[in-house]
Amino acid sequence: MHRWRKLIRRSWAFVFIAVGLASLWLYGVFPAAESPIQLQTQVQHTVQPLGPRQATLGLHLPESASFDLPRLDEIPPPPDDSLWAPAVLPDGQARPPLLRNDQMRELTLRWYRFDADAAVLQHGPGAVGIERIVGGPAVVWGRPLSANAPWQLLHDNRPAWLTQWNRPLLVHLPAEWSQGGAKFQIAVGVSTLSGINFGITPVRVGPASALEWWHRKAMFWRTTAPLLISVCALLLGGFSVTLGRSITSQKSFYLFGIFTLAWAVRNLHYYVSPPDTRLAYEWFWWLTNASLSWVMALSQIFTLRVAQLSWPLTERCLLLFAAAITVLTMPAWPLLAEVMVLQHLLNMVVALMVCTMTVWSAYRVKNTEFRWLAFTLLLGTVFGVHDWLLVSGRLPPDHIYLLPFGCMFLVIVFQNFLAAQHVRALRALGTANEQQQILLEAQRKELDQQHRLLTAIASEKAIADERKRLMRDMHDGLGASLLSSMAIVQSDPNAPDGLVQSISDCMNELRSVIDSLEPSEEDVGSILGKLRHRIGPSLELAGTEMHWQVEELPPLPWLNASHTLLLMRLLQEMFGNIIKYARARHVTLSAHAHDGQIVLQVQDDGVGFDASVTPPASGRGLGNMRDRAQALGAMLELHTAPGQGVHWLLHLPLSNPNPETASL
Amino acid sequence: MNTNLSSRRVLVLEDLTRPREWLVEQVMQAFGPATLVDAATNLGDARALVLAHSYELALVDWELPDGNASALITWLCMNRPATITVVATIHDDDERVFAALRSGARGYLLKSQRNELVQAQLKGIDLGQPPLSPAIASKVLNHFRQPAASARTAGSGPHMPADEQLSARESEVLGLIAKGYKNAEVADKLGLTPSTIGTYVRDIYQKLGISSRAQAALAADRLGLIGAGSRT
Repeated sequence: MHRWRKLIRRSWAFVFIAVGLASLWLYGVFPAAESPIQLQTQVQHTVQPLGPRQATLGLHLPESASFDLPRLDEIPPPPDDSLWAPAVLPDGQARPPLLRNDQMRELTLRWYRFDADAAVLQHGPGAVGIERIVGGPAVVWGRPLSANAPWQLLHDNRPAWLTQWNRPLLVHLPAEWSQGGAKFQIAVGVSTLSGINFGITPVRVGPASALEWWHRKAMFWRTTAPLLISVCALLLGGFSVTLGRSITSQKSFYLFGIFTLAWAVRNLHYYVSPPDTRLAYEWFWWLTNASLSWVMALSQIFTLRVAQLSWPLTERCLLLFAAAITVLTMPAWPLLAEVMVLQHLLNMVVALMVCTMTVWSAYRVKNTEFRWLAFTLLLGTVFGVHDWLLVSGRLPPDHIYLLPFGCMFLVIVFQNFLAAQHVRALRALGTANEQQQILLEAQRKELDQQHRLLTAIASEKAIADERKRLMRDMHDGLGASLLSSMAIVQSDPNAPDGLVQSISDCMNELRSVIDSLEPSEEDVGSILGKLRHRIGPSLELAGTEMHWQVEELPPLPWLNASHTLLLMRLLQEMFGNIIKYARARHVTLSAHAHDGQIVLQVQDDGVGFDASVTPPASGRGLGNMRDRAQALGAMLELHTAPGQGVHWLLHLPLSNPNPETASL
Repeated sequence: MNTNLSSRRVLVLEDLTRPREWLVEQVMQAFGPATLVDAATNLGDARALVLAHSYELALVDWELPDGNASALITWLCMNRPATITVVATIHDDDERVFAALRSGARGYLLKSQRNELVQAQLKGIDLGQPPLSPAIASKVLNHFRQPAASARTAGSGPHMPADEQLSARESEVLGLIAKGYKNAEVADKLGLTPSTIGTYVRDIYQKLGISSRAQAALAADRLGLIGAGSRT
């Protein structure tokens, strides 16, 4: 089911055309089916000689009514019944490829007569219809059989002979015939020249209304449909040329435009009556016949271009062939022969050759458009063969010329091709836009990232610069002075006891500031390492032994320089309190990762204090510690009681819940 | 010049007068009165001295009136392998200490501490037990982590020579020191003796110098500076 739907969606244009054709066919068929039309195939036949004539140049012989032709309206069917012999319709004779123009030919009237049943006239006035008569002008005579009435001329087609080759003939019967209810006889005369092809289809007899429907339908397929198709093709061709002018890379668009023009010219005789002056008549037919070669050549070249096949030799040969045919068939030459059938035979052979090559390549090249076009060409060539057989009298004359319909498929395929290109271009545009957007987005992100990186680098550089400045100051200024003081104090045995410690504390404090400005390593372990290095000696002096239990710790990505300083200050405060107040013998620092946190514990075995009654000396210290823990987004726990030491717990989250930049 | 076995020759390079005198005194105290101590106040004097004599120990201040001691330390390291070059500093996680260690110094001496500690540190260095602060340990660890990557991208192959990278044990020792563990505690944790840790530290300093020089050479080679001049 799905495959079918897909197929229909893909070939919607063909489905559309098929539905259209089917409805047209129904339009033609239904009224005819309601009322009976008799199709006369069994007839009586006789040939009436009219004397020799000089065969003259021209496509359809003999010349039209305006030319040298007897007054056919004055020649009734031969009355002698013994002259008539049974015959069958359709009747006709094929045409040789060449017709010599310098020969004398016999002009004859070929008569076909039959008795019609009056039953067809029960519903009102009757009519006679002949789908097609090939040859010279035709005449239609008739007579009621009842009272041995004389022949009446019902129709003389000489004035309409120029279009007789393709148009159905409709002849109304006298109204009074339908009142008597008697039988009547119809005779159709076709003027022919000996050796030249002629043809006549079976004759239809029936009610006029039914035959009018039939006539309209036949006219539609033989003249209106070719006109519609040519107009459609011309419109699309014009559009194509407009496109080709704006898209320089598409030369094939121009080709298609020229092709449709050639096509419209080629089919001119289907919907336009040829001119009735001899010179114009000859050039008219030259034009339409020569155009066929161009149509053939251009459609082949167009297909090759669309398939992007480079066959320059083939293209040149095709153009050369069309040009040669055009020049050689000009009425300006004193031609000895009528060459139309030969000309189209050549067209057919060339078309078959090129088409075979094209179809073969299309079979090998996997290109949908090319395949469709090749298929269309093949179809056109088949139609061409059909029409050649028809025009040369090798097919029954009631066939319809098919080549005018060949263009329809080419138009559809080209229309699809244009649509596909358009859709492709739109999609490409859409994709390009999308890609552009993605690219822009990526670039924007990259820029953002670079900006962030630059900001980070700038601030890190600022920190590093500040650190360098402090280091230099410490080394050259403050540090050197402190060092000198230390040297002096240490060499003086009378110096106060606490002075060395005091100077050492000063230096430690300075170091802490510098430590915090160290580029952040996100590593709590190394911060603790530095802390121990700083406070270790002071703890030893205070008589407290340090127990160090730092495990492998995960990095804290949020830890920046100010956080580092906060953390160090917090821990220094803890150890400061131990040194100053705890009188502890042991202190244990442990750090481990647990449940999305780093847990730092500092536990001493000192004097402890009553947490509910904060000792005034350390009151501010505890408050500071809490503030710092909060600024770090950490949780600080204190467990202590008098005589039971102090136990601090600091829970540092691995991901920072407190994105604000911590203040010192 | 008459030198007996017990006497040793030490160079002190320090531009500030009082700290220089103090340093000389500490050296005398640590190694005994027979010690020959030459003092220099700038790089020019120091260069003349190291060309004339060979020293067991050189105590060098980094920042000097006529430049930093980098070139001097590297020269000593390359041409006087018997000389233990030590950078004297106030602050033991100074960038400059690390720079000196990278130039080839075998350790540092922290000036800003009590005399006994300074003397103990001096003796330790002399015995092949140089100090290593947690901050320096972190820096050394980072140094050996990053250059491995940069050397790889520079196209010198995925593996540095063995004497330019740390062994697993050395990394372990460095990691623990960086986390604040004392040498004795590290030894305890790893089941080694404290003197072994000292040896590790000494080897680490040596590798730091070698790998730093190798990197510098690589960088110079990349810039086409080799042969253009040995001075920085």
